Amino acid sequence: MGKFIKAALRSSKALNWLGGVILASMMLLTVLDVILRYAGRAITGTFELMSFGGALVAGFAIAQTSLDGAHVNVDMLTVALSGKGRRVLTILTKLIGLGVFALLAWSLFLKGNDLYMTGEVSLTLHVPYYPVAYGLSLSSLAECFVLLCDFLKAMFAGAEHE
Amino acid sequence: MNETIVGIVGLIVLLGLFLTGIELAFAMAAVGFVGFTILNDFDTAVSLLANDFLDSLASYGLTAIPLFVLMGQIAFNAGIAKRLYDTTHKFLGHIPGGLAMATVAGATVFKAICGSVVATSATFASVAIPEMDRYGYSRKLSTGIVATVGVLGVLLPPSVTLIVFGIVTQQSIGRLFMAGIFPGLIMAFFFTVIIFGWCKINPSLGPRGEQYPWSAKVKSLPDVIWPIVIFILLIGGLMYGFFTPTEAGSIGAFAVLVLCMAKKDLGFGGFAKSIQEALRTSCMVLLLIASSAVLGHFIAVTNMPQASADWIVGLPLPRAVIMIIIFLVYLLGGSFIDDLAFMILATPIFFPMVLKLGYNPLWAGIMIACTVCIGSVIPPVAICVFVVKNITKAPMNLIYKGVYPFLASMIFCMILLFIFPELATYLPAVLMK
Repeated sequence: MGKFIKAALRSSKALNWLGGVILASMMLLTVLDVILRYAGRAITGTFELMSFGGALVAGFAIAQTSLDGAHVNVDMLTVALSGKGRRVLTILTKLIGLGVFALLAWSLFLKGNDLYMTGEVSLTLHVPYYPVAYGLSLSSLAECFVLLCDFLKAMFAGAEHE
Repeated sequence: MNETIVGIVGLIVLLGLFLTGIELAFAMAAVGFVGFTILNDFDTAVSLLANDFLDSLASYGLTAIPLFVLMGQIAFNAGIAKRLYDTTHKFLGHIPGGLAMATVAGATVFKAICGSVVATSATFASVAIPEMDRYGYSRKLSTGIVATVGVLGVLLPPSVTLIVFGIVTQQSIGRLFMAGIFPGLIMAFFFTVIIFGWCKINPSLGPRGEQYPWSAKVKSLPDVIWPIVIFILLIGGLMYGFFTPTEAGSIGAFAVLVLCMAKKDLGFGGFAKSIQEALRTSCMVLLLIASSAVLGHFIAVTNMPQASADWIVGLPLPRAVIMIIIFLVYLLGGSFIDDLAFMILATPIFFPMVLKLGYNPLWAGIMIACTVCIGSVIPPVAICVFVVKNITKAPMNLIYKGVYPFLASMIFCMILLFIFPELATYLPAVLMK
């Protein structure tokens, strides 16, 4: 299980860094676009690139945000529970999360295929949409990886502690 | 099964799931997906899930969130707050309670470049409390004001709460920013008045600090001026349509970054840290918005928002009472769930009611932001108080003793805003015709 957890950590970190690079690039691109716009040479398609970048920034950070425990949850009830009760709830919630992100990975993959087949592109730059859908699908898969690790830890490591 | 009953059952299941400790965004997407499957079919629900996530996350409007958060994180990691506090300290420190007033003034200016409530409270807890300790301030006053002062971040632009409200309700973010300025400044003024009055009644709470010569005061002014210049540039640009909120966020983040690097306040490591923190916060918010889109589509199919809006408007109650009930629901909901998350969850349901009652949407946004402010300091989910407690290790009951007077002023500010909606609507009406 150690290797599996290490792989989940590495993939989340790599995606997160990629998201960081995209965020910094988005900032620079917009600043450049605003400056050039007032010089009469706006960068064509900034709007589209920003939208695509924004989706990838959010998507690529999902797994690392989960690892850091930064997604909002309500823990009022769970902190009051015994170790076993908490473990049962963790197993249940990780399973639900796993279900949601497995569905998301699958549905976004199908969406990507659909966008690829129909050849849908953005209005100005004619950039294809499908890589964004595939990128989000990959991010959801990375999140599944993290949730599966949490699930397995709660199932086995948690049981050892009891 | 009747659509409304499915909707009600869906919401009950959602609240039940929240209690299991599941991530709120995951629960919203799960309930939205299952509910939509019941009312339509599995294939349509799968397609809805993909479309909602793709459309929400790839929305240009939402890109303002990570960029404004990045601006705040750069300001936070560069230690700008300390310089701001040093300046306000030099001007106000010599009067009774002056260091607490300097905290309010410093946080108000810091807020001009940092949209995060938690970052503001965390920064001033590390910067202002040790200084107030040094001059013998009561921990009741010092922890109380620092735990409260962060809430100004909800009202004063660039506020992440107002950006999210604008996106969820499709209101102009620039107008919402304008609408938040007066209420935010009024709240800051009330905080200052309370400190002054409290220290007059009990001078031991906040003894006089050191008196600085005018040369030292003037010399420290540039540290305050440039965040204000950036703020004016951003808000002015938004107001006159020179840039979109996303462009304002980018320019703000870039300007703060360049200034901090030029002053050697921030290196590459600090910038990388700011990026990582910005990613984490924005991903949390954006995932909530995308999940709420899935839930929102399910709720829309049940026709619940329209039916409940019709029902509420038909109640034999004055519209003001109905609005108060709505705000109490926000306050109660935000007390158990994270306030921003509850706003994202509840606004699509309550906003049609607000419009149907004939209230100004900008005013409603600011009033809801006020409930978020109050929710940030009242238990059980009092994020600002937790932050101060973790940093200072002060007991919770002591911090709360200090928080209550400021909490009362927040409620008073909300009452004022309720009676005089112009406090929120005047500025956008005059400046953004």
